[in-house]
Amino acid sequence: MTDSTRETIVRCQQGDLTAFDELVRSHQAYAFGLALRLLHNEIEAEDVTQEAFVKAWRHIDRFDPNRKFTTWLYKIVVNLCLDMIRARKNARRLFSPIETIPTNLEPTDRNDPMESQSNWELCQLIRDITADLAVTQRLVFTLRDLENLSIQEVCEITGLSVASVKTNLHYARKNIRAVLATRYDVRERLP
Amino acid sequence: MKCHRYKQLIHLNREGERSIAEAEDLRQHLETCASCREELQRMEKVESSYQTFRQLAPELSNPNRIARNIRDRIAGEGRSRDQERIAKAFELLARVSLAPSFRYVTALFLCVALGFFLVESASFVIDVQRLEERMGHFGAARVAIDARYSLALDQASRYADENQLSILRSQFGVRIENGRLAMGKLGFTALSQSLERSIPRAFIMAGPNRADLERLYSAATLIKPHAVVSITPRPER
Repeated sequence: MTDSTRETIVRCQQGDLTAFDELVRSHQAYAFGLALRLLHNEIEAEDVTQEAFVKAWRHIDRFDPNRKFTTWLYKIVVNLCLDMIRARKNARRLFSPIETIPTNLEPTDRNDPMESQSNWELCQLIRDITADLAVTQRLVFTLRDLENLSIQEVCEITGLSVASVKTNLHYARKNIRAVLATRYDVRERLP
Repeated sequence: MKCHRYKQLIHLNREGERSIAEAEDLRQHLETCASCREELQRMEKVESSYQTFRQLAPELSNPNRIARNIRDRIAGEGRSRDQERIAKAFELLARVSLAPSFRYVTALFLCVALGFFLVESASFVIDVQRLEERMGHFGAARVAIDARYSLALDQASRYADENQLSILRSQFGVRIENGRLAMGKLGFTALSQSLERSIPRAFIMAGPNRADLERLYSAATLIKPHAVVSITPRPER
């Protein structure tokens, strides 16, 4: 963590709302990206992002400024996303927010992320590719491969052991690569 | 090591995911295992696509709106750190209060308290009835309870009459000095003891004016009466 981020966090801990606003602006895209990749629903991802920062503000005095802020923030985001996924399951509508997405998985132009770069279509693509993953696999894959966090950070955020993270990561990559091999050629569709 | 473990290592191909020993072990295994070599080829075939897929990043459509909403929510809460802690303490208290065991204990306590209050009230009413009978023997006045458990000073001073004063004078040495009631220590002790013997938790207040009643009341506080009773004139026959 940079000195300026540490300084901003210390100011937040002293109750400085302006400092927290800076923290929000510099980290909200990461938090939103993670939530969207886990939830595949833009509205829910925005809600989770807001809730995560409100929680962070409430508990900022417990945070050690010498630790990495993003790890702490991601942990809050992940827990909120898991709560949301559990709530969906409880409501028997696990996939309802994205049920209306066409299930055409052929690599047509409509599935080309470059043709239309909206989050909705990006969600569709990611969802299509990661649809068969269990929640833990999707979580580990998202944190490690999409958010580019280290194995240790993934362990810290998820509470899983290194062995468990590696096992889930292996299954996630294997499944995703299998889908990519049969359905998409993402490389050719992106610059 | 079985093939399953090597196939796992094939997919754990990013930096820091394999130890040096694991990487060397995998390399040697691939030289002899066709199945794992096929797995590696399948993996490598889509590796570019996979790396591209990793870079797909959703974008925040309106960062200003999100930041504004967060700021509004935090400001709307309007709580300082200390207020937050107090609120949490109250929330904890509320949670404890709503716990079934706490509710049962509270209900039991209220029942016991109500029972105790009813018994005490009945006992007090009986005490007052006995006081009225006793005062009836004095032939002076009947006794009215100040049901509010407080001094009805004005009311009592209006009702005090010569008959009451004469009893106080003869029985307890109450006298009038400069137009005010006065009472010696012995007389007061006699009065309080007399009353205490029969009515342990009651006390009589009487007097023509507020100052006298206040004087008697302050004396009465020494024996800590349970309630204050004022004397009213005997009804006309």
